[in-house]
Amino acid sequence: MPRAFFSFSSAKPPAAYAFLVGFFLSFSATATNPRSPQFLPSSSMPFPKMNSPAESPKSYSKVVSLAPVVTETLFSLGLAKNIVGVTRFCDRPSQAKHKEKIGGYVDVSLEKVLSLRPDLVIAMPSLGQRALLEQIAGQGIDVYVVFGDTLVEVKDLIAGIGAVMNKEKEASFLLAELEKGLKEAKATNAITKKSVLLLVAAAPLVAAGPTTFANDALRVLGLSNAAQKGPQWPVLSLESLAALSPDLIVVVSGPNDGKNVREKVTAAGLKVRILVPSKPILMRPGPSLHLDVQVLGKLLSSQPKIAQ
Amino acid sequence: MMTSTTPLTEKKRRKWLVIGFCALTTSFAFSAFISPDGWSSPASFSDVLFQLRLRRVGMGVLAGMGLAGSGVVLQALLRNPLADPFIIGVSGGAALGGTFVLVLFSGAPLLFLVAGAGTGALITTLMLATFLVRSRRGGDPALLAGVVLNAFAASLITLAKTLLPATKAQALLFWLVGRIGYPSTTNLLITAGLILTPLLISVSRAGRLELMAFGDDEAYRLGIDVRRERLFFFFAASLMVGVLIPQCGLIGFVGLVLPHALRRLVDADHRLLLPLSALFGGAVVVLFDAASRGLFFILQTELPVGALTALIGAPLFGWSLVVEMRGNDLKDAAKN
Repeated sequence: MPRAFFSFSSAKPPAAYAFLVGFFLSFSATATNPRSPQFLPSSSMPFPKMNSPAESPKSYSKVVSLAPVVTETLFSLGLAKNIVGVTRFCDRPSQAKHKEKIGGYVDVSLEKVLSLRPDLVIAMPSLGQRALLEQIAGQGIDVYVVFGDTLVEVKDLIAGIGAVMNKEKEASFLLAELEKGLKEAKATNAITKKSVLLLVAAAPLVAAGPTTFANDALRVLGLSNAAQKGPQWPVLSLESLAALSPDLIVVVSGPNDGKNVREKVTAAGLKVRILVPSKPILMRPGPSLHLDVQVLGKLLSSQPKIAQ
Repeated sequence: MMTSTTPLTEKKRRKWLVIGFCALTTSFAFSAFISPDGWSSPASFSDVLFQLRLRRVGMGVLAGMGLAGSGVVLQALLRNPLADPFIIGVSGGAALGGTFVLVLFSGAPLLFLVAGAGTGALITTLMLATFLVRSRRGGDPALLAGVVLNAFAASLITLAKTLLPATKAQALLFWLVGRIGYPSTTNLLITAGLILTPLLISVSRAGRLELMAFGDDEAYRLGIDVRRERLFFFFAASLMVGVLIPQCGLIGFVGLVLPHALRRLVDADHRLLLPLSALFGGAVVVLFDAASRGLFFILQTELPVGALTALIGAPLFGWSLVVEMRGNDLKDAAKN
């Protein structure tokens, strides 16, 4: 499983410009799938090494999580005791709130992370974390990066963390539960072939676009995403929302945003049904994603006039 | 530009430079013991965390010295009290270069970000230098060109922020707002060379800067090659800004407020003002950075030092202006 995260491409482009393109692409692309879970190799940067328990420990005892989905997965795998640090956004399960905080997504404190003396840091790399992860790896601490944009990536994430933490059985169980839950959600959903727009924010209006786990949730339920093209999380005006002509809008970010969207859409004279779950759903990926999909399925099925 | 009303004596210069040096070393020593958990004394000086922090504090010193030093140079050079390292366009060019790298090569190493921002700074510096050389009306055209370049860069950065996904836009914003990281020793040494060399040369030529502050004609009559000196000081200031922004983002207000405050409180003579601003600039940035780090255990985040400097610097500057205005009113009343 360990593979170079920042490796050069093995391709041999003929021309200089092709080399340059390949050079830049190689920073984010590996030979097979660049977005599967993988270890970040130790940097050769001239940083002093931490006194880590072992050079390459086979079992990690002190883990810092740099993303809520990672924290939730670690807890679900029964690794609560091994977690020594989490982000301030890690609130699921509730025990995560009592763990030591290391910062947020882009404002992680390197000193705080290192002071916890972890032997493994698990991250979902973003722009702001790039330098941080290089520096952590430079200290001789193993850095494992995972991705969670789509349903497939969430499954890889669970399996990857399970493998790294020697919890393959528990990971298989979580994955089976996820699959089972998604099948149940599909079975309970009475509406199919409808175009649905999922809104994750009201001011501005932000929709769930393609290559998102929310998009996959709609696919699982047999529905199509009204925002099928464009960026992952497109920002919409009322006009562009109308142009997508969805059959339904679901404000997944919850009642407050739901009220806001209703007011905006009504004031603009748009005639489209707006559904709002009683609490936020599909706002973040994780091992309990199927529960959110089930809530969405039930919400849609509870609309008698739309059900076919 | 304000100039001193009483001549600067060597005794006064020495006294204030010693005070500035003491302020810098005290701030450095104090800040080295501020960790994200508050006050912390390391088990030994070879402690890894302590060494990391020392490098961060070192970078803070360089950032403060470079920003305040370039602020003084630019205010004198452009004869405009509003000039600061972030108004001359170099900052906009660097920010745009860095943004370009962040957007297009999001997986690229940190070195690419620094290289991109440095290239942006260099291009804008060369553009502005041509304005400065060809200008027959002092630094005004260069200043205006800088403002326009900054506005242009800002619009492109806003465009990038709008088009980027939320997490990337957040990271971009975080970089732009200014923070001091943990440089490697090599990086720190290179930065020190690139900041201290132009700064020290500028300090050694501060007398010429003082003469140039009287006006081009005056300086020319006194034997100064105005065009050459203008270009030297402009490149020196741009180098300092261009080296710092890629690594620390936009740490505002230090280059504007501190020189003004010292000009009012101590002396306006550039032979003292320039080195003193650099020394106090280093001390102030290091202290603000320590505050941002030390507040972690309350806020669970490290506030970007750029936000803190503006947050505290703006009201302080406003207060100093009000005090000065009241003082002037009282003097006028006494005269009448």
